[in-house]
Amino acid sequence: MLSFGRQYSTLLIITDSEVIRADVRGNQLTKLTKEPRPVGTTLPIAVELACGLTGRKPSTRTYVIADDFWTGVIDLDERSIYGLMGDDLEQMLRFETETFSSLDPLSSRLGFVELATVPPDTRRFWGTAVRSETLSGIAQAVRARGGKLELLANPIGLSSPDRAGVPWVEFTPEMAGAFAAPAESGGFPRAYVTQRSKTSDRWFEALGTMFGGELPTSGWQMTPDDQPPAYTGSLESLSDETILHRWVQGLATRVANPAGFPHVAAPQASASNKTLFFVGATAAMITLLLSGSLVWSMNSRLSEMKAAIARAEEPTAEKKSLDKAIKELNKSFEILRLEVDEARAKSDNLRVLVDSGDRFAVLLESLAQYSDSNMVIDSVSPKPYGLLLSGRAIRNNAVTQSVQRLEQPLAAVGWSIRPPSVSGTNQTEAGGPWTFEIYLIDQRPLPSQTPTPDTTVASMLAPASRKASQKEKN
Amino acid sequence: MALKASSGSPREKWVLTFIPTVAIFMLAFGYIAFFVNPAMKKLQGKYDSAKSSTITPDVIDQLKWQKEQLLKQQIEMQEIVRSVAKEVAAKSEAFQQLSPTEKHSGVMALCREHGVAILQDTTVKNIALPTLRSKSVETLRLLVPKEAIGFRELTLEASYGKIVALLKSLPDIPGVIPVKVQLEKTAKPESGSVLSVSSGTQVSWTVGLLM
Repeated sequence: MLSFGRQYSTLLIITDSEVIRADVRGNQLTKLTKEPRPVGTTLPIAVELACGLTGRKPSTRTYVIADDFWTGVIDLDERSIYGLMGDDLEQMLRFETETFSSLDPLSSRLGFVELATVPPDTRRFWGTAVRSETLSGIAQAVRARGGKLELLANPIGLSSPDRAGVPWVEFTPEMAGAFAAPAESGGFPRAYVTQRSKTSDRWFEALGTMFGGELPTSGWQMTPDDQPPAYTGSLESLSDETILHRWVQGLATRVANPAGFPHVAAPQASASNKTLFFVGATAAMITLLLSGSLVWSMNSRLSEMKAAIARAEEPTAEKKSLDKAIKELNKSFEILRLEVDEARAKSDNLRVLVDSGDRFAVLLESLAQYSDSNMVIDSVSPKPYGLLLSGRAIRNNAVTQSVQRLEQPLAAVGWSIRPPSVSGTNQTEAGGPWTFEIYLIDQRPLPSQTPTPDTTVASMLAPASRKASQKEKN
Repeated sequence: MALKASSGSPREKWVLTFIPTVAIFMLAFGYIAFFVNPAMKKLQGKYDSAKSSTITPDVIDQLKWQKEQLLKQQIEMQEIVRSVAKEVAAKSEAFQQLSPTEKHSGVMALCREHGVAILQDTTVKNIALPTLRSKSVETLRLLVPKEAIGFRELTLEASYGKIVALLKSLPDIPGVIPVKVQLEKTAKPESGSVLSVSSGTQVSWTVGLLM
């Protein structure tokens, strides 16, 4: 039910004979509907029936007030519960009330309030207990009609006929109770609730005694027949429609601030399997999507990094490849160089032999041409170093001059000339004649040098040109 | 410890509801923590290393240029080897052009042509040559069949000029090369000219031939 401003609430009042639905806005009763309770209906079914009394859904703040379950007062020695609070105290009370309520402490729910202490050392509690199964059934019935159960309470003692805090009594066919609001702020209320007996009035005496004195002079009764004969006060009967409205108004006010009376809070609604599946599937899907996108983005990042590495490594790989190729080329180049050296050595060796085939002719020709007329060659002898030319001269410097002239043409055909050895025989005034030795050292033919004006010498530099020159001369 | 059976409590139901979510989360977490993160760290290191050792394009260009130069040089060297081998083959081929007999006949013919008297003509096993010539002969021996070359020594008698002419002509015979010339003479002084090559002295020539 939508609410704007004031809160809507629904009270479902279930008695032995009636089911009542009261719709309240704020603290104001807006509608009251009731029907007879079918005989034999369980509390959850009666609650569902009450929900359906109007065409509207019950509120999300639905209070179920029913007398189908146990309520009562228990006195405990203060020492037996010393130090117990909250759940521990509730658990203790569940076990203590088991005798009165006949409910299994392990499968029931208990709501309680502490009442004013009974001197000298007794603590008094007003409790309400219901089977957990019944509570779940009620909550389910309200939920099935679209509402939400807020609490479950017994109607006795909930609604005071006077707003000024005056004590009051209540009588129903089964129960009787006397109630008083706390004497001071923060204090405990006074109350006593007891089962009525049809065979004895001792319960009435006990009510007065246990309440702690005189019974209040005003209060409620369910029907005009419910007033005990011994009670002298005035009672208002809820069978009167106007009084019922006032009583319900009082209930609405009281349950809006659920303190000072025992009640059982609605069980935590357990989600349906469908809801659980939907929630689980949605959460799993969202997690899957988020995880998937995260994993995907991280994998993308990995791929990007791999690509970047590949790009960064490209020059390195190319350099490696080039280095390898250069190394191999250098190696093959070295082998080729050795081959070239070997081939050149062979070629040079052959050139020494083949290209200077006419070297002896050149030697003899040169000797004839450049030797001084004052000297004569007596022998030409092969030696390990080359050739030894021996002879005689009648002039001291004739040999030296001849050697100078011979040097260039003979170098071209593979001889170098050492300075001659000359020795005089001392037969003339100058010391001559002289014998001499000229050493021709074998060597590789020198490359052509600047040609001398003498064409004969030039012709001797190369065998072919020498021959051509010779032919021309002839 | 025995496993506790399901109690079907709301708390347990909610726990069961979120088990797939937790499982997916754990899987994703495990995958990221134990696979993606280590891989990323490894790749990051590799990436940093690759970045730090980046080769500049100049280096690559330099290496390429170096490679090209080496290739060019290699081609040139190969060309040199080919040309030298060709030259060597051509030179050594001349020694196989004529048979030893033909070469000998050619020498005899030249001697006759130049009027040179042959006093002695013998085959010698070896002729002592200077080191350089000796190496050349060894090289030649490697290039031609063993029987294609040998040494001969001729003892000749002729005038200086005829010997010169003969020595000039001998290399014209393919595969014949004079490798030794020895001159010995007995001096007979004549009146008017104390020293003269052509003064009627007795001259003996020994010519060694590689043929």
